[in-house]
Amino acid sequence: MISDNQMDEFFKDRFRDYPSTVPEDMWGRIIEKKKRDRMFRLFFLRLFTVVILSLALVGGYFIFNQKKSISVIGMDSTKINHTPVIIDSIKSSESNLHTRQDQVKIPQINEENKQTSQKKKAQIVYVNEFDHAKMNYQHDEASSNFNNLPKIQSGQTTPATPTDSNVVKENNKEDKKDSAGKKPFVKAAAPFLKANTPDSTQNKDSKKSETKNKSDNPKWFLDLYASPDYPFVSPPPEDEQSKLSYAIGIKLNRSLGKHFSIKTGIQYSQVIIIGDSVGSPENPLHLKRLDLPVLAGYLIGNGNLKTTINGGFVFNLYTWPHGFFKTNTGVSLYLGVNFETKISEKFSLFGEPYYRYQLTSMTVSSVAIMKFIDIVGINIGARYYFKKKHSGK
Amino acid sequence: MNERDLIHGCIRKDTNAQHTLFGKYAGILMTICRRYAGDQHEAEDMLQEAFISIFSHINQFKFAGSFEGWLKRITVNTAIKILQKRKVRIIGISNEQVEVVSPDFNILSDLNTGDLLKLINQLPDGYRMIFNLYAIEGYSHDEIATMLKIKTATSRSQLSKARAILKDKIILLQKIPG
Repeated sequence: MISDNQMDEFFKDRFRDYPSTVPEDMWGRIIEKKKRDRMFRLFFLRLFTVVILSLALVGGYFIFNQKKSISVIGMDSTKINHTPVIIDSIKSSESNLHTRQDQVKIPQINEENKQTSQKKKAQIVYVNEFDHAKMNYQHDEASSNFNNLPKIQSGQTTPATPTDSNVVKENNKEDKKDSAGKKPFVKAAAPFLKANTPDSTQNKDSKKSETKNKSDNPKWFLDLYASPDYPFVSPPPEDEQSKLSYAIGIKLNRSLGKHFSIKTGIQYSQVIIIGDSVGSPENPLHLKRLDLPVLAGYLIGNGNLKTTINGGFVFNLYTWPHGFFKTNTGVSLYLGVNFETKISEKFSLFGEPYYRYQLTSMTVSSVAIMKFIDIVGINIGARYYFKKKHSGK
Repeated sequence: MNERDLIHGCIRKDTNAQHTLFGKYAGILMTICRRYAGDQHEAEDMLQEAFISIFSHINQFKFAGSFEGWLKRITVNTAIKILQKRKVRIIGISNEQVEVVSPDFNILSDLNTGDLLKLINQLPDGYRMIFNLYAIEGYSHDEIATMLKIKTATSRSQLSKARAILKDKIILLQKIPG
């Protein structure tokens, strides 16, 4: 009879170092599985990169859009705050005119004054009409923001009112009354007013500032950058490992309008790979490339922090050492998001996470396998604006 | 190439070193997989996964203790993971003593390793796993309980049942000549 322990020991001894037959194709299956797993990981890494870039794009867009809308509201508040002041001055001017007209009876003496006062009145009425109309329009758009606007100082001629929206309502009422009685006069005075109203001056000013804003975006600027790169070799090789690599470059940019720009330059990069077929850990392969990027950019946001989405192609000019890789490795697709911050009138600093996707095989035709090296990196550099920026004063 | 060089080669992801390692240990590790698997196909899947895991984690080997032991541990863990993925359930059974006639040692020693493997493969998944872990790998009931997230008593009862089934089958083999 055998005890439990004896049976256990018997099984243990029998199975110790007992080799079973392994299917002949097992090694091939393991290699295949490893490749599949690598491809899977690479796919998710690419997907992750695309998601991160997309999030950065969307995030950047929303951040700058928000900033833009805040600045627009700020501009509106200035206009709105001015309006009650004008209205008040109109009222006081009107009362002055009436008093003068009542008091002075000799027309020939006061002819000149009368003409002046009529002009003034016409001007005021026009301003009144114009500003009220403008306020009605603005009221619809920006009334929800009135409470957030700075309140008018008590020292000003504006009537002290609980809220600015009330002012607008009152103004609307006055506007209706005024416009009912004074429309014909306004029509008659219109040609004169066009040339002389404060608003026309304002329009001129705004036109000037628009012109200035346009000139605020210099047409030409130069980027100087360096990037830590991480290469991804596909298909993922069995025996190769990518190492941290780098790129340096210079790009000349030309802005086309408010948002668009094109850029080209020259870029030198080194891709470092370790592997049996390419280089040992002691002597890794340094694949050197000289490239010509041709990119287009779309600018989002303005001010001190700008975001530009850059996309385009990177054309290889020359690659060395030769043998395994072509002397011209073809074209890559480029997508990057540039975050720029102004440090002075002429200089900016920027960071640009990017993804470079190799479109063409990089290996020579005598090599049986095709190799593609994609790059993920972040360009960090400085930007120089050739034309001096106008301060807008 | 000595064992140390082989390991270093595998750490460098040198395909030749990996292939040499595979050639050297695949047979022994395949036996482990066959002991745990329900059939040959599952055993092959286990071996494949085990080698992928070995090549991925070989840089974690600290050169302390037996390398073969380390490889076997990884293979056993891989096999258990695959069985757990297959949702093999180890259900607690009554702890009553099963009256089993123990076979004679001579009958047992007449059986070759292939026969023993067949016997083990005939065990239900849970019994087979616990018998392998306790009787052949040498884990304690507490360790098995932690490893499989079961109660120690369950491990004991499953082992007892597995032994009883094996003894029955051995006696049956004795009765059926050839």
